[in-house]
Amino acid sequence: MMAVVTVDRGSEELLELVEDVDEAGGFGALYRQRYRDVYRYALLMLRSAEDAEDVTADAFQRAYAAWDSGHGPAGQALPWLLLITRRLVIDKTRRRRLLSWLPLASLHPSHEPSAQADTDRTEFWLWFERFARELPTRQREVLILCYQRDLDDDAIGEILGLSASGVRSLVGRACATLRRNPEIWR
Amino acid sequence: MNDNEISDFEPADEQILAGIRRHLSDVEPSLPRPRAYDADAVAASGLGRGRVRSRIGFAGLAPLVLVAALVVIAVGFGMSLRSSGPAASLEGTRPPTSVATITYQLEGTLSASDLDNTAAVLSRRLSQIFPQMASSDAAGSPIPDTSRSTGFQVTREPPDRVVVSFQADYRVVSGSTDLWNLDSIRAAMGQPGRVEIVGLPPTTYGSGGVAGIKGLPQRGDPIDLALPSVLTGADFDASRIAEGTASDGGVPLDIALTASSAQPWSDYVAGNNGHYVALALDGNVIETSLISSPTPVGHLILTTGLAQRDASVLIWFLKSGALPVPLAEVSFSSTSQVPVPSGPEATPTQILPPSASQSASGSN
Repeated sequence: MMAVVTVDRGSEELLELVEDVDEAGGFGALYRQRYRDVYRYALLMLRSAEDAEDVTADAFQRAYAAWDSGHGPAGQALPWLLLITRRLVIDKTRRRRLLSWLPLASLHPSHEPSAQADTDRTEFWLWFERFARELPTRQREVLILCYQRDLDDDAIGEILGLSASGVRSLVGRACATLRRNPEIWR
Repeated sequence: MNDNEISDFEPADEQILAGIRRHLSDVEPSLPRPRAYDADAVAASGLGRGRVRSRIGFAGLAPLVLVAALVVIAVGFGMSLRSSGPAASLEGTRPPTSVATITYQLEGTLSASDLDNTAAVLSRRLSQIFPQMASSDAAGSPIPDTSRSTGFQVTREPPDRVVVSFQADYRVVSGSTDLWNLDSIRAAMGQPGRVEIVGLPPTTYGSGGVAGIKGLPQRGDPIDLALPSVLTGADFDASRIAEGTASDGGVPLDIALTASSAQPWSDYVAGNNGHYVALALDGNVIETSLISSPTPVGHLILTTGLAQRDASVLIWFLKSGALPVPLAEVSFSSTSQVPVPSGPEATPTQILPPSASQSASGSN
């Protein structure tokens, strides 16, 4: 079982060379199966296609390193992947904060959410901005994870560092917030 | 109102969740699919299926085969390969070193020394970064010094370009939650880095306990260019800049002044007790401080609200000095950062042999 993932950041493009040697599956299969799930989570958390691409690449890179050294997921693979991704998202957000308050005014254009300009124009992102404005990050995050139907409360709790009841409580609070803003969910 | 009445008028959580799911599903068309396996690219890169299969088929010999492959590749490219630990050697893989290359163009009308001075500042910036890089990866495993950073090179390209190349273990640049990583290095390297202390006239900005006609500038506000600089980066002794112990308010800075600046600053403090000054970086306010107590002669002591990481960045600018002219980044490239078996794409042509990088860091 062997998979190879290569990221070429220099060209700002993700080049994946995934080889699934084992007919029964392996990291390559996991990569193909879960790439969009990881990317979706990163995209919705970061709201930047470029950052999401970077984080997704880093997440699979780390996952591969762990997998290859025999430290793959103990249970389901998706919560494990999303947990790795979440740490990278938090790191990315932290860096953004640091670099945004320091007057590093001429950040290179590629560091700006260039894809954002495009995404902002779509109806989805207009809706998502309203959604994000109304909900605190954690409530928003739990709803994004709930969108993933194959994650149960335990799995979401594993990603967020909460118990299953904590997840339900957070969802309840998010729903209470949204109940006051029906235009967001209708 | 009982529960039934609530359910009559208020939507259930499931109904709300279904609505959110429906909206979120609109993002699906914009999600990319993972690219298909590209057999030609794999073959061209030396990571072909046959080679990988040989590792599977001869599992017991795999380490030897791959170590041998590493040696062949190393000889072929005339490179010295690095390994971060026994695990990597046994697996026949090495943690690839990330090599980033940035080309800057100097802007404006240039004097004869601008190119040299720019290269010197960039070298000082890089030389400070590497010792500060993460000493452990995200999982807490130590990263050996030999693997953490492997050097940098600053090359002048007359008449108006400077090329910066640096390399570091992929775990530092891509996975680090530490201050310095590929993104932050790239973002900060080409910044002007002009630090100045600007006097805020009490008639406009008030003084201790008395409000002025204008509010004090806040962090990130552009500083009024008409205001005089009391001190600039040239007045600071870069070798004697220290951060104090962080308190609840932030990290205090102790900045020693050059001999020629000490007395003018002392006079300014004496004549402006109770007035405000602003600490600015590249024309934007970082802190405003009240001159409220005498400071040791020859020192500027600032109590700031800066977090540790932010104070580190500011000190980094202070110690490395300001760029003589503005820079524009004209190109950027970086290499693979993932743990793949060594191949041509993992040993890029820009990679710096250790000897070259060491001499570069010393000579600049």
